[in-house]
Amino acid sequence: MLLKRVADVLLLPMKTILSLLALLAVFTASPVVRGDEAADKAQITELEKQSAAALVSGDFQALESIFAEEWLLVGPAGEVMTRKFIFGQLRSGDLKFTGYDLGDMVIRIFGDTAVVVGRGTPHGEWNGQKFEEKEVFSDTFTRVGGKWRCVMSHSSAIADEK
Amino acid sequence: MRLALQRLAANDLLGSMRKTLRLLLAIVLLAAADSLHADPTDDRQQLGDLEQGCATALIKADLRWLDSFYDQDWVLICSDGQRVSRRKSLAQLASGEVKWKSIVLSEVDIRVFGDTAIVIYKAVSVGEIHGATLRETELCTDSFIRVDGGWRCVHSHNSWAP
Repeated sequence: MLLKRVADVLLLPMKTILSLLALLAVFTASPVVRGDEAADKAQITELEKQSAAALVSGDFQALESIFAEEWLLVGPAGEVMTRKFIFGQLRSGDLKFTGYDLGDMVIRIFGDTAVVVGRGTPHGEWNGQKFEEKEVFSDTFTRVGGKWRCVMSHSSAIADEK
Repeated sequence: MRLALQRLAANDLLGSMRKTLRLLLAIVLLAAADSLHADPTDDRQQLGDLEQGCATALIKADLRWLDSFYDQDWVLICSDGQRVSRRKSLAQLASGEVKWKSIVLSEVDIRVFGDTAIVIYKAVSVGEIHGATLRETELCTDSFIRVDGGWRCVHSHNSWAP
C-alpha cells in the first residue's frame, strides 16, 4: 500500500501520515475550492426572500437561522441595532412588518463572503408609527459550515424615482 | 566493497530525502496552523490600521494605496442610496473633482468572521466636491475579505449620522 510505504520511508507512524493528509485536505480545500457561484447566488437570493417573508410572518426559527447572533443592522439615520434588539422589538410587537417587497438584487460572491445590494420596500408599524419606505440595502453574508449567514445589514432610504 | 559503497550512498540519499520531506511537512503544517488559527487581535489591528490608512490615502489622493485597498469589485453605496463604482470613485479623486481635507474616524467597531470582516465607524469628513465645501458626519460600514493573509475591502455603505 502506497501510504504504508510513504510512512516507512519517512519513519513516521501511519496514524501521523493520515492526520497530516486530513489536515492538508482541510487547509487546501478551504481557501481554494469555492462552491459553484451560480448555486451560491441562488441560495442567497432564496435567503433574502425567506428573510423578508419571515420578518412579515414573525418566523423566528427562520430569522435566527439566517441572521447570525452577531448580526448588526445599520439604519438610514446611522443607528446601529443588534439582533437582540430587533428581534426583541418584533417579539414585543413594537415592530411589525405588514409587507416587505424586494426589488432588484446584485449579489457578489468572494469565496466564503457574499455581498448583496438590493432594493426593498418594507412597510409596517414601529412604536405605533406607520412606515413605508423605499430602501437600498447591503447585506454581508459569511459561509459557516457550508451555510450562508448574514452578519451585517445596512439600509439607506431613497427618494421616489421620477 | 563497491556494493557497500553503493548502499552507503543510497542510504545517504534516502536520509536527505527524509529530511527534506519532513521539512516540507513542517512548513505545510505551520502554514495550515497559521491559516486555521489566525489571531483575531492581529486581524483587528490590521483592519484598524487599514481604515486609518484609507482615510490618509483619501486625503492625499494616494491612488496607488487605494488601488490595493479596494477590491476590483468594490462598490460604495452613498448616504443617499446612490451606487458608486470603484472606477468612478478613484477617477473623481484623480481628477480633483473630489478632494478631502480631513477625515476623522471614531467609534470603530471591528468584527472578524473567519475570512470575512466588517468594520463599522463614524467618519467626520471635510472636503470639496466640484469646488463646493462639503462637511459631513456619516456612519460607515466596510466589508472585507481575507486575501493572501491580508484584507481587501469589497463593499462600503454610508449613512448620514447625527
